[in-house]
Amino acid sequence: MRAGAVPYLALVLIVGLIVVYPSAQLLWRSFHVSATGAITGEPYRALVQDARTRLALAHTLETGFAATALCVVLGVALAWLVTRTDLPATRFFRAAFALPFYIPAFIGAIAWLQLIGPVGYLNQAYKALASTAEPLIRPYGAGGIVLLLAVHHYPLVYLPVAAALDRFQPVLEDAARVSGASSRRLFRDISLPLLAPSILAGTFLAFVTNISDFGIAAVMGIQARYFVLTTRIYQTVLDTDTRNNFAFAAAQSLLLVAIAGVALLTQRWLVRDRRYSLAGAQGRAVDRSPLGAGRGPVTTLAALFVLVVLVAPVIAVMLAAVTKIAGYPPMPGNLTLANFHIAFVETAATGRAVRNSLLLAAGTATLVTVFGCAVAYVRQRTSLPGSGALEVIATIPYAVPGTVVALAFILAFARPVFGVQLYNTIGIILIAYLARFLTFGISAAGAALRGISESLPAAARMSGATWWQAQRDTVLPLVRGALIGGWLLVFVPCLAELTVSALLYSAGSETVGVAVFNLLESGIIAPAASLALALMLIALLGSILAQLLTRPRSV
Amino acid sequence: MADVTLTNIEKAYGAMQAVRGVNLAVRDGEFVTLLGPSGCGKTTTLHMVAGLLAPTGGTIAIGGRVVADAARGIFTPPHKRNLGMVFQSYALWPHMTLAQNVRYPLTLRHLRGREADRRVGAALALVGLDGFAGRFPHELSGGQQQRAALARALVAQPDILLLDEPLSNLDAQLREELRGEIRRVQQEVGTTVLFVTHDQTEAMAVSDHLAVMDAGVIAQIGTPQEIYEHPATAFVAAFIGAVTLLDAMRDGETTRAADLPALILPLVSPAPRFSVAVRPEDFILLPPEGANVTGTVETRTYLGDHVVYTVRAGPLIMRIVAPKTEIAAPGEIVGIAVRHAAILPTSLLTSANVETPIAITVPAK
Repeated sequence: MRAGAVPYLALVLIVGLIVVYPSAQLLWRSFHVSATGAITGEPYRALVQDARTRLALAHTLETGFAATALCVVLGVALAWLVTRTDLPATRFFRAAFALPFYIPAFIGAIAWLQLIGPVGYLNQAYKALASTAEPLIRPYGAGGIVLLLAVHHYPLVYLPVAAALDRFQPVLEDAARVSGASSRRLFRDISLPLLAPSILAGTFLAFVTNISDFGIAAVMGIQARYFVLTTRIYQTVLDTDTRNNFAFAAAQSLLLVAIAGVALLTQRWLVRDRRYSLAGAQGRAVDRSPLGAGRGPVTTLAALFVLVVLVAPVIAVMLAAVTKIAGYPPMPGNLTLANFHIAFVETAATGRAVRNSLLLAAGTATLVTVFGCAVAYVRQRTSLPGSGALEVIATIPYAVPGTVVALAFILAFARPVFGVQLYNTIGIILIAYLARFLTFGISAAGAALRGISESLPAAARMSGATWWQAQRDTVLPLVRGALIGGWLLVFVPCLAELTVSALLYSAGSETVGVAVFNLLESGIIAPAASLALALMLIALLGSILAQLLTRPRSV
Repeated sequence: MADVTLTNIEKAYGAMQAVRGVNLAVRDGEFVTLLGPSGCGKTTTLHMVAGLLAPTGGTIAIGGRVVADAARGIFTPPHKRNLGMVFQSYALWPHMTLAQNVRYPLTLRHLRGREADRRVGAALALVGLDGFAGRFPHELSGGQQQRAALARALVAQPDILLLDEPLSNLDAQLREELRGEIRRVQQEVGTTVLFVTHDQTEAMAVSDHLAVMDAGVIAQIGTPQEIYEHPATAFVAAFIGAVTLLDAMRDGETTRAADLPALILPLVSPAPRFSVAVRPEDFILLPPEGANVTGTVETRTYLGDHVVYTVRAGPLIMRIVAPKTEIAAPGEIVGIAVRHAAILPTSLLTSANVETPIAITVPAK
């Protein structure tokens, strides 16, 4: 048998079971197969006729485009600010600007509601000051969704553009200036075209992420009966009164996937001739253009931005978590720790949910890391055919919206598979998470292993080590940090996951995300805030730790 | 075409003085090289001529026009200096084809249409890249990319062509080929060239004049031959080729090596004590019988067309190049004589026993 054949076959089986099979089920069932085995195609007829789906489509595009436009403006401007200007405290701003991405979106939405919600601090203060009963901000609906999508997803533009600006060779600009280009021409003819691929990549990623969002749309939209496609699919799945509601939801899902697919193809087409890299940062350091007289105001604005998008929601949710009743001003008499007691102790489901989420997150992260190592090993150390395709297929569950993944798993595992009944157990959530985060493990392990020369374990073997000892003593110490970092990058989003578990949970297998969501839906806001606070802090700390651990080793 | 004059140019980064008062005059149509080890300030100086850096002291004039004057706050940005520049890393814009790269300086000078086409074609032909116009940079080899960069630098007929270590990224054979190409093109076009390199062979091969830089100042300016045969300082002597440095002393009418008085140096002493530099090929190996000085061969390196020996004689170790016909084995005793030794003028300044002040001039050959 060829080297690596056993892990390779195991990988093919796993990917087949948790990626290919559910995808095929979703596609097949969306055409609706009648009892006689005939393909009716009826869900698609319903899709065209259903006014509510059309409206949800319009809402998805509307919020998607608006939020993406904001993401691009914020992302490019902030990236430029931290890489190309003499903004003070660049290292701090650089890191701080990236952080909102690591707050789980629906947790962020709950935090923002403490500020701008109907009984949020801003509206309460306004009502008190203006002696009116009318709130200043009505966050539910399109406006709130767009704002929160932009605030959470602009780092998807900011990060690649900042990275591209880092890699950018200043000598390319020098060459243009010496050739006779003024600053304006330089920007238009050289800098912008060279950055375009990164800006485009970030833009389309932000767009796909925006239209795939469920958490923000659920928290900010459902209250106002403002539905986008993801929340509409969720409703359809839960709506057992509709005939063939699963098939209909599958058709709606494929509509959403089609939009994302079109976006992806558009991006590919736009960058088709731009297969060059900016790598090889040789020569001198970049010039940072002085902000001059604007330095003070710009710095203040940047600090204010961090305050508004990062600090204020965290503080608001902190205050809400220790206030007796949501909306009460945070005065000493109104403060209490009872919310934590209510959330964690009195609500029986919460304790269970915390245990479930910890189990799910740790289990998913561990399995994904092991799986990622196996794929990376097969890819890099053996020459088995099709392992590249395996890696591409593994990205599908992360690329499509979580709501769609959840539906595919319902369709695939509603009945026992190989005699195992996963539906209505925590097991179905585990394998759905596993599918969704597979690609994280593969890329983390791939990146970690790529830097390790094969001669290291080979030298250990020559010194008398077994295969396993060689891996343990020479490879593992070098990749340990990166693997733990990669593990955290899966653990953290799993812990606060809502989108997939909202459709897959059953009594007894609730996740923390579902628990928070249910508390919020029942109007138990302050205890929900206490849970949200805990998740937010875990997410931020875990993400920062993961970043530190996965930082490329400088040898 | 124009001349370039640098007067007391300085560049300081905070307390760090990268360039400390450089004076240099490049005549119209001349090929001048700034040569020195890394960190000597040569690239900084070139970038100040380009306008990519502003000097913190001194003036720069191109074609009689002052483009930078630190004291008067004059600074002409690079795009108004009419320059061409070739960078070490080629710096071709990856999103443009070769023709687009070469055409860009013309576009910026509002030259379009047929005339621009003709100029782009001529520039590509000049560097032997006709037929590659539609290629993207990443489709070319390093040597081709650097030829394209040269075409781009020349296409708008700049007053000055600046070359910033343009050959350092290429392999040895290509480097030699391309340096010949650069010299040929420069003579064909007749443009003034300021060239920066750390490779002394490269510098000697192409330049009319060399300016050897050390620690932010110019140590010596001269033709390649002047600098090789009459280095002004020990640093210049050692940087331009291998050298053996000796202390010399006057002994009546003869000059001897201070540490090995039997070794006679064929020159007239300008002072009681001073230093000289002897090139490896300026030693002569003799049969030991009847020789004034004998030494022991310590190592022998056979290099095909010649042989390099290190020979110990008394306290001195000498590096000697001999024709391949003269074979001596390590441990063998050989006779040594000196054919030519260059006085290091700076050693006369530092020497305590100078009798009369001596003007430091590079002796004419």
